[in-house]
Amino acid sequence: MKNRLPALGVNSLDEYSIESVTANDLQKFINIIKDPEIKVHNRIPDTDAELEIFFSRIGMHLWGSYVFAYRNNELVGIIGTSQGDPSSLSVEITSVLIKPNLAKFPLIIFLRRVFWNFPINRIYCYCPLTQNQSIFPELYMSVGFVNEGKLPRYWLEKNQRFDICILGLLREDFLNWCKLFEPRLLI
Amino acid sequence: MNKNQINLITLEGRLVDLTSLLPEDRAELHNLDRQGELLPQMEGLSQRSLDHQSILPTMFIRTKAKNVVGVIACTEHPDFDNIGIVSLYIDIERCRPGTSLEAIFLYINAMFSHGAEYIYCEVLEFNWGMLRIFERGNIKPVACLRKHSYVAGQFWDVYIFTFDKQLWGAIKNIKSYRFWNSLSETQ
Repeated sequence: MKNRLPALGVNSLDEYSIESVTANDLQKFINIIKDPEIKVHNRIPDTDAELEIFFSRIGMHLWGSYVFAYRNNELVGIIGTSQGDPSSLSVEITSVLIKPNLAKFPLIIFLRRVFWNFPINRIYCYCPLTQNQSIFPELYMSVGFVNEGKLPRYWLEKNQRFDICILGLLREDFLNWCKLFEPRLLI
Repeated sequence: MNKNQINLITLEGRLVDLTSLLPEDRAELHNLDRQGELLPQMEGLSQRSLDHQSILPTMFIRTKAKNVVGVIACTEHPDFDNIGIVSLYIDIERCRPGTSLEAIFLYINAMFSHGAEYIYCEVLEFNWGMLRIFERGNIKPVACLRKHSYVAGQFWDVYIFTFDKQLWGAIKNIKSYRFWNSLSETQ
């Protein structure tokens, strides 16, 4: 028998917190996505009809979950994972940020929630390096993601091609990050 | 990408010919896939679908004596438009050195001439055969996805190679590939 107890779940840390997106949040979700000032990481559609379908499938994908991120009561953005891959125990992360400069800690709480809940070995993301999305690689790397390379000119937007940066976070990367910077989140 | 179904194609090389699959070839394909799924570099279980439409059909690799020694196929990248993913299985016990390289050159040339914009290849870190083919042409991976594939009981890194038509033209002119370059000129 093991003589230690498992770590508790964490949904908040200091002034930062995350809260699951539920079926009642469609309008709030749409309002955030539609705001032209919002920084949207890829993978989230932008038309109403597509958004409705997208929203109806939240929570139905393997290891898929979306959360609202807050600092105190101020909404920072939405962070989520799309369909997981059971053969490689990996899942892709995506985010929609209202306040990118406040997103670091909600993001790390969300990553902890993913690694705590699911038997996932790796979280990754494809970040198109467009002007509107160039903040994402730096944000993700600030919580332990590693730059794994670049797909040259793979992203097509408004008839222009952009590189895509690939970032990956292994479970061991996450635990090392926590040891160094935020031991309260260790699992 | 041109999604018109291309039914019957033959690509002629010096060592091998590539021929589109006919309905009566399914049993032979099944046998090849059963051999391939035991090789870790093929990532285990085969999930081949012949029903999807792609830029080129799945093709057998045949020696000049008409013996089937492998199969080469392409699918479209699920996340990005106009990106073709190439997969190859070849029984190296049954063919001459250089067969894999020639099959790849024939097939990729044909993909570009049928409208592919980019070619995308994922190679597992222990697949030295494929890695050497790229190394001979001084082709460097654009990314290394750490522990992104679960094969033979453990996680492995996956190297990504990608090229557009322009880069492919430069690759073909590399000295170590000149034999296949002259071949492609005759196509």
